[in-house]
Amino acid sequence: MASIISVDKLTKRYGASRGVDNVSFEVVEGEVFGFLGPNGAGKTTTIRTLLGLLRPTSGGATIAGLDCWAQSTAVKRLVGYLPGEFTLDPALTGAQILAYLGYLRGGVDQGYVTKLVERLELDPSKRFRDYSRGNKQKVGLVQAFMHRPRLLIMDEPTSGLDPLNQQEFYHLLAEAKASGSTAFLSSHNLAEVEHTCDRVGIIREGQLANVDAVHTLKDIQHHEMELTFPSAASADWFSGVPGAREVSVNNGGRGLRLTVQGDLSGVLQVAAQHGAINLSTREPSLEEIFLRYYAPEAAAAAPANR
Amino acid sequence: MFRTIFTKSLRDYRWAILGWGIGIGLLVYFYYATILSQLAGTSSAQLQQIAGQFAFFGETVRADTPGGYITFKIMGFLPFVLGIWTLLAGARMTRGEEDRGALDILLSTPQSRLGLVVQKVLALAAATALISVLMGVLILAGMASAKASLPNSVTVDPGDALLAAVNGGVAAFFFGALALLLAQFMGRGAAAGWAGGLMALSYVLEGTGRAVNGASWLRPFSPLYYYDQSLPLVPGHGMSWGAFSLLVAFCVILAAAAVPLFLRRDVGRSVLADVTLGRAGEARTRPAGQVIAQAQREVWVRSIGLQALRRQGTAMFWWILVLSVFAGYLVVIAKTTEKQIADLISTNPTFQKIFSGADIGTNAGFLSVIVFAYVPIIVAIFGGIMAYRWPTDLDKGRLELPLSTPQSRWRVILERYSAVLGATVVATLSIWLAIVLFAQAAGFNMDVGRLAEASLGMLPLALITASLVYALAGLLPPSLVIGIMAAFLAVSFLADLLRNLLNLPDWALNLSMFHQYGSPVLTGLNWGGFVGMLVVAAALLALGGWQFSARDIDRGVVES
Repeated sequence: MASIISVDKLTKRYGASRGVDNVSFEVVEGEVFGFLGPNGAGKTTTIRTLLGLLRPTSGGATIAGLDCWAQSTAVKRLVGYLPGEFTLDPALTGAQILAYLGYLRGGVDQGYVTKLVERLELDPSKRFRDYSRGNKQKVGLVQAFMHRPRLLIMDEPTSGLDPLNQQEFYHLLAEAKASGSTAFLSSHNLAEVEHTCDRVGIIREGQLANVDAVHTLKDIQHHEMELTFPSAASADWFSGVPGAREVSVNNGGRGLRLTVQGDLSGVLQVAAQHGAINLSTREPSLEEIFLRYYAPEAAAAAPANR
Repeated sequence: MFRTIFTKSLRDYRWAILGWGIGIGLLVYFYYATILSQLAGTSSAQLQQIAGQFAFFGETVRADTPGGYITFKIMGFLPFVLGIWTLLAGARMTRGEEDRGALDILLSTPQSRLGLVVQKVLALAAATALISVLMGVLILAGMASAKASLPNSVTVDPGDALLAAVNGGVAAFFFGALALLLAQFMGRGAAAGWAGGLMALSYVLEGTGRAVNGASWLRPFSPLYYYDQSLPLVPGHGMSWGAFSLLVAFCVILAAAAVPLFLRRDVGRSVLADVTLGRAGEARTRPAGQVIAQAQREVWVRSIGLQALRRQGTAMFWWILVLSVFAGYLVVIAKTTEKQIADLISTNPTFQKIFSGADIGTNAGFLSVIVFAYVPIIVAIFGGIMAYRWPTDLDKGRLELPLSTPQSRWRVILERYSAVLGATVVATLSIWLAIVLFAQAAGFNMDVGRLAEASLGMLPLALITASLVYALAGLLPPSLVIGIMAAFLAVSFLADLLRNLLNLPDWALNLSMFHQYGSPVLTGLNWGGFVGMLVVAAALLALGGWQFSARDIDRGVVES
């Protein structure tokens, strides 16, 4: 399928400090693309460049063939945007903000706006200044979805939402995808990206480290596992088991510590065979994954492959 | 400087201290330095008499002496000018950080609320004191400079210079403390607005009490009455320590009244919030669809320009109302003293020098001096302040969402500007109407067409000021934008007001927009200058639009 977002050698510098450096990737029409990276990696800079809010230092980006800087007004007709942080006239109510942004878009379906507001359980009669962070985020989400845009660009869309509203957001996203829309969303939550996205781009220190399908990412995800057995254990039990690595013996010879990448079933079977009496696993933080897989030298060895 | 809230707050004031202290100090210095040419050729009795007719504008005791003349001419305005800063600082003292959510973080440290507010009040007091010292030093320098030209009638006394400045500082602090108190009940914008209105009222009360026979009973109701009792620059008058102590006591009472209110109320909310809560509770039960449909029908949400008008509508309304009433009031004041002045002028042509060379022997000339010397700069300030929302919105990142809609940047900036333009047009029309009506009521015979030209002529002054703000917006922080605007207005205004004293070359004088404005009540509107100034305003706006559309949008300081 055709690309809807095409980022080509995009570089954005702010004086001496880093923005993004020579980033290229494509987002295909109809997919949900996750943009993953730790704080300060350049996610927001990339997103704001796509919206024509920032001017690229060099390179550039197009959306549906339109240049994101020179033709930004036309681009914005196609896009629903949720900023990572935003503020509005604090004296306006949620309903007034939505009406205002609706008029600036040339009119939107009021019934749909109402439906979105009800689904996210937003009280539209309150003033913006009286909203909690989560409710402000809901106003942002409603205005991003309300004109049924062809492309959704969202900077950390679930930040501040409670779990129920997060679920509702995932439903909205799935519906948008089902109706043919594309979504580009940034996150630093690996599980969320795994849950919602088809493909992911990983950005670190302003450079794109990897772009891949989300199931490939699952290989990146690994567990630190500790097993305890009734009697002395051997590291050899797990040699050849898919995903098991770095097995070591501890706990007076009755415990094993290992790293498991991907699916746990093989390891669990072997552990059961040997009568394991206790098991604990810990998922590493995204930061640890980045440090492990995308340290600068590793990034150089694994350049963007699309 | 970051060790205590006091020193941190004082540090935040550092540029204001330098700017206001040196700015106002230089103004007084300038009057002293040019004292000879201002007083030359006018007899002592005439000066006294003239000043007496203009008593609305300043205390007139011994206006025939240099010290008395300076007191009459400039010192009366000192609390007003410095008061603009103190009342903004007072309104912002806790409210600024509350609105940004920064006070939550500050109060999450083991600082008591009492300690916080007391330190902040003391920091404002210390800042005002430092400003007073700077002003005092420059007043002293002015005295020394005047002494060189008038050795017999000027005494150089550091104590008098400092006391004059401190007296002004305390009077200005009064309005800061008033704004702080009001800010416990309302947001910072409303508090600054009410404090500003009360400050203007104080001036009118004191001025009317001075100028109008039988109205002197009004004076004690104005804090400025107590300021005017101390005349350290006037020979043989000195400080009135009783009045000064009372003024200090008022400041302490106002600030102290604010403290318990701050300690009791919710951070970020008015003292009265709990009283009005019941009313807000009822409105909350309406279904979402109804609320959304109602918002949809509102006119103000339909475009960026309309939304800007709505946001600034209240401020615009009050500005225009107060400006119009003020212009009308000046007409009435002018009428009451018209006859005496006319007689005086016919016997003393040199007097004209003081009032910019206008022939004030006629109705039109008189109005030109009294009304159209001051109203144009206020209209220009109005234009600048209405435009000031633009740089602050950019700074706060409030354009992130509107700019994500399919509106071009040019359209956004032009719609915002047209809201300012609309307000300015309404202001000039309203002032014209007020002057015509008040002149009719007072029995002034005026050429209504000329008055219309004089009012219309103020339009480009406001537009140039507004366009200047737009041209600098986003390039510089908002506080610097307003500083440059103020400096531009001050230089432009003083260059014209004092043109007979400064002897500027023609080309330099022509750069002053107030000079281009001229005296249209007398001579008709200078259409060439009018069109030229509109072109300058358009060019500055184009510059603003160009740099806005070619630039990164700052994410800004997001308020929580």
